[in-house]
Amino acid sequence: MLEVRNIRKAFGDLEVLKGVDLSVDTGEVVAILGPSGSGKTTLLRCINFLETADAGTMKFDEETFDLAHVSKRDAARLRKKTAFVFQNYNLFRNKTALQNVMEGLVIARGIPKAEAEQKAWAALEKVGLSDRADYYPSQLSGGQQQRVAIARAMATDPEIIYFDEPTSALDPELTGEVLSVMRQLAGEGMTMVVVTHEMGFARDVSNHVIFMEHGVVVEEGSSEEFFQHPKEERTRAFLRLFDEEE
Amino acid sequence: MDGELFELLVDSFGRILLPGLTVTIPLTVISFTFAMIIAVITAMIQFAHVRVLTQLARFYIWVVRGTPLLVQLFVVFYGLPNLGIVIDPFPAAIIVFSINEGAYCAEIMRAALESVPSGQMEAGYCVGMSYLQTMRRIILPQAMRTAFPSLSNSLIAMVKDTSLAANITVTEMFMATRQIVAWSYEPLALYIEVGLIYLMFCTVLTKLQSVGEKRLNVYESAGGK
Ligand SMILES: Nc1ncnc2c1ncn2[C@@H]1O[C@H](COP(=O)(O)OP(=O)(O)O)[C@@H](O)[C@H]1O
Ligand SMILES: [Mg+2]
Repeated sequence: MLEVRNIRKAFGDLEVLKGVDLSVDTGEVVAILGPSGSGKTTLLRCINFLETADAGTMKFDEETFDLAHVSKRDAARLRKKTAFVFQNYNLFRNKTALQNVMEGLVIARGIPKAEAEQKAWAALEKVGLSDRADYYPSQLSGGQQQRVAIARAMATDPEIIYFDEPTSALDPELTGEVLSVMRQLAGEGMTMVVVTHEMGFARDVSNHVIFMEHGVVVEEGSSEEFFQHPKEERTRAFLRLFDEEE
Repeated sequence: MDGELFELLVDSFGRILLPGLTVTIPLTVISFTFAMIIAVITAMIQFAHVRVLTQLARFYIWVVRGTPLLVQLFVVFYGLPNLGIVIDPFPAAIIVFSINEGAYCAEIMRAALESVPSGQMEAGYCVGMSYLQTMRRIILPQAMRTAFPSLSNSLIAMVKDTSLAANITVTEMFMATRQIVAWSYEPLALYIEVGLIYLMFCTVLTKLQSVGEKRLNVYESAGGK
């Protein structure tokens, strides 16, 4: 359903993406791994037009776009079919948890308030936070904020959700609650692209793994193949770092 | 204090307060409302880096902040008639105070808009909202919260600045006091009296400010509710 070809992006002299491909099938969970600074965040941001790529094409639902010249209208239209979960949550600080979830339904999609509220409650219920519906982000823990952010993402019934290191800003004891919500989503067949350092999650949940470094894809393959028989020496070295941790 | 002076002060209290309620406060409220409209628009233009308009906004702020309010009042009321533009004192005062205050509040609003983390706008885009929708629902309310104390200060300063309108024959509180002084020859007592009335107005505003801040604080206070 999503196919990105040869995406390039530089910030000044710094080439951050040097021709990256990414393809995602419906219902698939793709994990993107790689050391910090390898361009993972920039990749997701370019795909969702938060950053304008210098080159590259993107096929989404049979429509093809030139990533370097996407019109504002196309960008807005495509964003309504996708959702994004940020590393630092980015919940609307002036809205309660429930309002955070409703905003994209009522304001962006014009869904009647009563219906939107029902959907929002259901989404909060799913992430186990219906009892925090009236709390503002500042009154929630990091893990709870990220769960609200996931509720906000899934409430709009997106065709795909992009996750950018959703647990990296969390204390270790809070990552579990967020990961379990994500596992549940994956189990329900949600299409997801997940940038993560959680090797356990990538191994158990993802179907496909992409390993990036210095703006290029070093290795990719099915999750099983990638973790059982990594081909590249760089990949093996990267995976060893995590083996030592575990 | 002799009885005569006391009587004068009691008698003049109403005569000063009345133009306070009918002129000073409306002048302040109307001008500040217009000023806020100017400020929000000017700040948003700069925030979005709209070409040409941003330069115009900077020029406007530069001129207004670099010239005395009294000079601005004189230019509009005594100067514009040279071009055949004659404006009554009260509307002239409204125009000048709105434009003047608008420039100061625009700077406050611009700084407040810039203080909202960029992730808030990005989150708005990612849930499918447009720039203007996110601006109206997410960014502006947060900026307003940040700007509120400074805007309140500006409003309080403005109440006092309206006394300058006396110079273009607007019969506000200070003008009314001067008229009483002219026949009673009691400048000390009467000017202190009008000063106290200004103090009263500003005290009410300060109270309103802290009530407003408490209400706006809701989403910033960490911890349970
Ligand atoms: N807006 C930006 N301006 C300049 N450099 C940036 C910007 N965003 C990211 N970079 C640089 O691009 C590189 C890749 O960043 P990023 O995509 O965030 O990597 P990752 O998410 O894999 O850690 C880093 O060197 C980072 O400093
Ligand atoms: Mg990153």
